[in-house]
Amino acid sequence: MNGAAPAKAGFRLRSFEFRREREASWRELEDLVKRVEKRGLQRLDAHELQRLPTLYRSVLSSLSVARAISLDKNVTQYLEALSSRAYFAIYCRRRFLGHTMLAFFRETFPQSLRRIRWAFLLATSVFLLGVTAGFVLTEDDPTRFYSFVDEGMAGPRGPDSSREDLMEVLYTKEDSASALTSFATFLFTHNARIGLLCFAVGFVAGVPVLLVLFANGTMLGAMWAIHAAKGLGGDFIAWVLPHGVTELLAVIICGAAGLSMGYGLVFPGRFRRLDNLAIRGRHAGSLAVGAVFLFFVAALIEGVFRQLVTDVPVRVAVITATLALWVAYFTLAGRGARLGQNDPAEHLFAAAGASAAMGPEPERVAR
Amino acid sequence: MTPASDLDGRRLSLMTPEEVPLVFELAPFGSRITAFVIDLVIITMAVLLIVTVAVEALKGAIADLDKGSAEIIGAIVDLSIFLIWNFYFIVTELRWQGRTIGKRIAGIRVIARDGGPLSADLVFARNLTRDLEMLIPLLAILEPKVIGLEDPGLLALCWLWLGIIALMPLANRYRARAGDLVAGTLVVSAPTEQLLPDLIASRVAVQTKPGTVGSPTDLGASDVAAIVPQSERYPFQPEQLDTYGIRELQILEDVLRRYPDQIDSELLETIADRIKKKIDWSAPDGMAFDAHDFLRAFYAAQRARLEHKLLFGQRQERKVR
Repeated sequence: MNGAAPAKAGFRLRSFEFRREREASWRELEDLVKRVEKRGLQRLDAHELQRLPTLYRSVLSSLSVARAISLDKNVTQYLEALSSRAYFAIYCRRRFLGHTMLAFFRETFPQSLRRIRWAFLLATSVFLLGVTAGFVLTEDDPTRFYSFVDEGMAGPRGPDSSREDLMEVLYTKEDSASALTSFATFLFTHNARIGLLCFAVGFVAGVPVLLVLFANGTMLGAMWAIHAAKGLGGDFIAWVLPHGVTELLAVIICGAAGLSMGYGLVFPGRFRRLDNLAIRGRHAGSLAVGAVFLFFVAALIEGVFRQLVTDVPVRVAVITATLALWVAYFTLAGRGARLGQNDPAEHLFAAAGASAAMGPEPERVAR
Repeated sequence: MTPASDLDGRRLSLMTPEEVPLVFELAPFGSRITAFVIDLVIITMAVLLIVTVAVEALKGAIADLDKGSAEIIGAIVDLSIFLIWNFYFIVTELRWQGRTIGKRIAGIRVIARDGGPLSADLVFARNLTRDLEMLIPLLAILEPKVIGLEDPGLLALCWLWLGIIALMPLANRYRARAGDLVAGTLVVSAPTEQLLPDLIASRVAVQTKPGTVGSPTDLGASDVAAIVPQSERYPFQPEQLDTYGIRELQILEDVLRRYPDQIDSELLETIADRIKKKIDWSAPDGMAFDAHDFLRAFYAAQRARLEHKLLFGQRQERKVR
């Protein structure tokens, strides 16, 4: 083709020839990608699986060529779209929920909590501070009880309740477990919502989280105080903690996740602010979902177990057992394993590493 | 966390491990809202279905005066509503890598800002903030008392806060809502472009084999040969092809692809007239002039010329004034 006779060159256009040569492989890839998008990678047979990466690379190279030589907009747009679809089909493969969940509870969840242990300790202390404040203030002047606990929550319990009324709440035995399922579910959904809220407000620099934690603490403290005033302090603890260990842990975890996110936003360290928020946000999100699971366990204990077993020693045994279980789980689980591939920060730190090319995931390279 | 990606205006370019940048367009707000509404409808339908089934079951239970099973059914309903509301987005985005049913229909998808896979923690983080963004605003508007905001000062503060959350997508360069910022994700358009016949080739295919407007691979040698007389009927001089640039060429491509379905021949005539005047072209004597054929021939010649220049490193973006 030369400039003198471009009019005759129509059928000898490079972009035309280029398309003619490569189009079959584009169509083949398009067909494969369509099937992967519908049914997943595992539905391709061995031959097709082998073809997929080859075709993908050839289409990527077609895209580079097209960008350089072709002015046919439809072709370039088609190749752009096809390449990105293929990219996602290959690198962002469909997740199996079962595997994800298993890996999550075995590694990600405890690892994420250990990662933010300082936020966790802070959240715990703020909560305990709340408990102490509630307890001391209510003991000092029982009428303050209602400034900490709203009436719906308090039910029949109050500073003026008799010892017998309080005893009745603590030791009522129900015949039918089924009557309590609904109640447990309500508690679960209610508490889990509070927990998720606690996480969600975290990215406003963490202040609301501290307030929510403190307020929850004072509520517990105030309740405890009115029971203690009637000589039922120990009984109250034995009543509230069998499920409380798990539930309070979940609240504190959500709070800690929120705090860590707030901290990340205020002090971004060596990352850009939004990037740092993203790194911490992902961990915090895992923790919040893990906490929902803890709330579920707590609701099970509360709904099924608490009202059926009224023996103080058994209750104490359950408290000890759950406490030991969670301490062991969060300190030991997933310790040996390499930080999961779910871990975004790890990819950053591994920056530009040669290792990533080996794995099925694309490398996250720092430029 | 964007080390491997780069945002330029509304387009995000993302480096693949093969070192070829892929370009993504941030999803327009309209598509995002459409997708969300569709997903919302699906959630509502699922909840309604569960409640209807439960009510049917309850009728039986009440008839038997069986309080226990009624309670259990109530518990199941509560639990399923909670799980569907909170986990629909999480499960669908994990399962189909950022394409919930609504997003698929709207032609958009969620991607990680660095182009990596959507892992569980990322999807969790992105979706858990949704309650804060959607549910609480709705509650605040409908029932201020539910969230304990009778105090006008606090209520005003709450509105301010909601305003900030609502405007957040407008205020950051990723157009991301709060949940996307927390997780480091983006919503991008995920078009599925069709590969249309090459305009240069189908010009022949249309004429020689009506009804088989297919891919140019179908072209035999005889078809290609047919181009020559066609392009000789509308000859162009090189200097006539130096006027227009890539932008005009691609607009012409759009016009030709939309003819005859969306564009009538009158418009083609107008365009052809303008081009003829601009490049100073006149039909050889005694030749029947057809606007469509002329534009096809002009497109082919112009593309050849511009691509030829491109090879020599001259990229002529626009027409010469």
